[in-house]
Amino acid sequence: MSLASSKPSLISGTGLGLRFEHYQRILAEKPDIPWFEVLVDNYMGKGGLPLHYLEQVCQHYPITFHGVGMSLGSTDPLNLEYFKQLKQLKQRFQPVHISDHIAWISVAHQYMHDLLPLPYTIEAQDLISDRISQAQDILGETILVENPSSYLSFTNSEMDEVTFIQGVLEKSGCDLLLDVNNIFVSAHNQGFDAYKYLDGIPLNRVREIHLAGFEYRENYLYDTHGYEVRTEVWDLYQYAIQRFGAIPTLIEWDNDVPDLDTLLGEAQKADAILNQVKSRSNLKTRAL
Amino acid sequence: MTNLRDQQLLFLEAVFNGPDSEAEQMLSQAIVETDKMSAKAHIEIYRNGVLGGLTQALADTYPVCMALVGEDFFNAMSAHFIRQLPSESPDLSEFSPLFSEFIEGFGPASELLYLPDVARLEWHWHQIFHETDCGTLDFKKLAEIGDQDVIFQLVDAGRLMHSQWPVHKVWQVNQAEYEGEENVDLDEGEIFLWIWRNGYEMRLDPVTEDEWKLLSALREQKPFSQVCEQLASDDEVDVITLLPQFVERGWVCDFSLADAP
Ligand SMILES: [Fe+2]
Repeated sequence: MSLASSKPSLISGTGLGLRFEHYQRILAEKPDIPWFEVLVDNYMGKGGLPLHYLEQVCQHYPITFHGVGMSLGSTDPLNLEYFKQLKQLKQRFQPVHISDHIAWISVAHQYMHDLLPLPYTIEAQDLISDRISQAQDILGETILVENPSSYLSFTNSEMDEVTFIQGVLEKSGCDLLLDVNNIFVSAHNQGFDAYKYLDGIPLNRVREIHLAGFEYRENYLYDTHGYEVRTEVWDLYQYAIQRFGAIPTLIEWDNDVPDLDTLLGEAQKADAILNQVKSRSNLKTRAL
Repeated sequence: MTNLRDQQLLFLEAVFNGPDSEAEQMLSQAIVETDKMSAKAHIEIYRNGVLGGLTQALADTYPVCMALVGEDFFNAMSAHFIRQLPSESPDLSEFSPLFSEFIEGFGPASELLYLPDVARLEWHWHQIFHETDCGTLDFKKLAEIGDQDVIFQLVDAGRLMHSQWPVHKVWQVNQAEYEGEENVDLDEGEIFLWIWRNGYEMRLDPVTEDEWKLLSALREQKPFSQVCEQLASDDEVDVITLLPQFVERGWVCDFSLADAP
């Protein structure tokens, strides 16, 4: 069922989220950044500056598409108009891969534009798996889905999140975008063990990792993407990289976007961890 | 409650109808309470996320409206709007085409008579930013058609606006980089605006009534002979002088041959 899982990744190292604030400097200086993640929902317009900039960035850097618009967990029919536009953008900009979330943003054709939670039931697992399969058929490629940050759990859930995700990967053949920060946030909010969660993720299905900064609220953690990656999340990331290998990693920062140098500093920290694993596996290869 | 469809519909209602709604009561029963937080407190996190995101989208699209009424008033007005006219597209940039109409009917803003037109201007601006790019008129090709009738094409990224208030000045004095006279005389009379994009440069140009009439006629994509006839006889607009100016300014970007009569 998996369409292209075995193809080698065309990106490596730590990429950055492409943000409007940084376009001019990126295009003027072409900083040494291995790849960019593009929030594809912001490029659905017919023309104008965003598409013009993206066109130029694509000439120098590999990109990935990341969005929320598929609304994969919704009980509405797929929005075919959205997929049509997404496919056109795919053909035009040739992203390395396309990702969305294990969540829903719309129902009854009303869009809330925020990632909403699913109960972890067989019904929801079948529904989202089926919609992921449809999405993959339309786009003609294996997509990645991202584990959400969660702020509630439903009384009718029949399994834990990691079991739910295992089933989705199996049923739909999609791959995983593992957001380590989201695991930390959800583990804190829902009271589960983040390390055990990582142990439950299948080994060969993680094609990208997200890192971001959360915010401390009075009774919970909130995933604002507006801070540096926290120490506890770096520890969890190190564990994830030891388990899954040097997976391409993204620094996500969407609110109060800082200057490029701050982001590059975060990327350097991630690269240092990625390189530890890389050099260790090189040693192993040589020993053989 | 076991059906996912029902649960999602309830979630939607709970988010938009507020913490005291019946939907919230029903949804609460499906949500696990934790030591620190009630079911309602959990729902509130999502409600704030949704409403906060949509309010931010409105603030990004209508920054001048926000500056005019202040953040608190704008947020309260937005909360009403979001519930009344929800987003219907996954593309957030398509959210809120009817904000100006909404403001017209929004009681607390009724004294600010010019506010709906400011919102209209900002919506045009927002749309033009994302509109289709246009090339420039091919003069050589135009010279070759002789005396055949043509339909001139205005840039897609252009919108016409007519207002009883000088909303372009209201808009200008509320731009971050603006320096100069802060007071706007609201009674200076009606204005005609052409909001457009010159390449990637956003433009807000006041035009004369005659220019506005010709732009309006061209927008209707009538054959040029008809445009001339209509404007010359009804309005005495000097089309022959104005058209080359429009071309020179980059407002006309293409043409096609009108069908033979
Ligand atoms: Fe993420």
